Amino acid sequence: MKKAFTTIEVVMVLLLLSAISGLVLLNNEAIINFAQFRMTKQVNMTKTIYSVFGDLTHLSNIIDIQPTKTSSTVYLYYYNTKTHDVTYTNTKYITDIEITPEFITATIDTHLLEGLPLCIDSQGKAVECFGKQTGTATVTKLTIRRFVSNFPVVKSVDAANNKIWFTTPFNKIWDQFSQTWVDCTTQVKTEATNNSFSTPVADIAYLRGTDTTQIKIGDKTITACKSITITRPASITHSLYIILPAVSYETATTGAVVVFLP
Amino acid sequence: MVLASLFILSIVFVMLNDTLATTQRMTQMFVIYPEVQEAWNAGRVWCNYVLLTDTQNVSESEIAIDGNTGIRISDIAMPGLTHTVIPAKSPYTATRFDYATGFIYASVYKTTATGLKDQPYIEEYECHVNYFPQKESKLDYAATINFIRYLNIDPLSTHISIFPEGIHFNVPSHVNWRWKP
Repeated sequence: MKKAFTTIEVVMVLLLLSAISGLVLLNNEAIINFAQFRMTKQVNMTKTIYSVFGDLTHLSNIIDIQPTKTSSTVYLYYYNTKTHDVTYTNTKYITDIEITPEFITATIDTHLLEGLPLCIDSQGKAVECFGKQTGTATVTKLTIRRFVSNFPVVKSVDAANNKIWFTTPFNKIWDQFSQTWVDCTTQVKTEATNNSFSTPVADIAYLRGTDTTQIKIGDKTITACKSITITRPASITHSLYIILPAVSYETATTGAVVVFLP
Repeated sequence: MVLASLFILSIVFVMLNDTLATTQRMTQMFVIYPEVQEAWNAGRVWCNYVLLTDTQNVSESEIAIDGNTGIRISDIAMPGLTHTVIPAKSPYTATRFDYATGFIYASVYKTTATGLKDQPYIEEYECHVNYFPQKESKLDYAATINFIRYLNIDPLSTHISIFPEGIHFNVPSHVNWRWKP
């Protein structure tokens, strides 16, 4: 009976299997890392899902806050579930922090964290979490206040300065007159009316996004607005109602609503 | 044929092993603070439903609540409560979800925040989610989710939109990760 394989072929196959076994055993540092491929692909493909769960991921990995309110040395410490190391990120994502004897309340800008891996390096570049830090925790209880919503909703109305502040930044505003989305810094028209039912006056008011901020997502930078400034019509001298058009940031859109300016 | 089969099986094994490891890592990240996720889900679903369907309870008399947890004083007696009064004819709605081990007490009511007090069509609400791990035990964690509600009224109907603003979460110290320099 004729042999199926020659000795050389068998040796070659055995060598090949040994090499593959080596790669399997050294999988964590190996050239072929299927998990890495899939992770990257998954993150790229499901950015929306990642951004939602990314909020919780970041929140889950905050293990402590070492705060100094008077300087920029406020750090969020993370526990890296992969390397079991402790690492940190700096304060550039923290918009506000309040320190009381028992609790610390940190407000973190979700937009700036969106889509990022767990950590950033000293240049602000998104990287894996590495490096141990030394320090002593100063709190026994921790209160974390952070936005888990992207919706740019009205936060306050500053009638004296004709300004409307939003909970999170937005980069688009709906232009009712051209029926299109425009950049937030573009001036748009809206309807305004006075506060008198007996002698009603209707006119046009002008709105423009102000207090801009730059949001970096990967290699893309988006100009977003934190507030809207209103130019009142000359025909309405006192308090008025305006229609605040819809504003949006990526997939998070808040609808129009009537705002009263005393 | 045998060798070829072994080769393919080894590749499949590597892929399955990696998938398992990846899943475990992802899951691990989300389970560090399961209470946050639970509070967020419970509060967002229940409070959102109450506000969206406008099925809030309005009492004819004042209601005394704890300002930190939103719990009605007459419902649960606890030490260290701070008394806050919900005025008469103001909305206050509370419910209780019973679990095999403990229960969640959730409540929602209009805030007294001043930023939007002049706005007739924008309302701010606080949704409190409190977890009691056992029937008679003390409070284990408390979370507050802030909601903003837009009311758009036209001659035919009222359109309600609800936007969650964020979560304020308070965990006892033993829940946190220990700091190990």
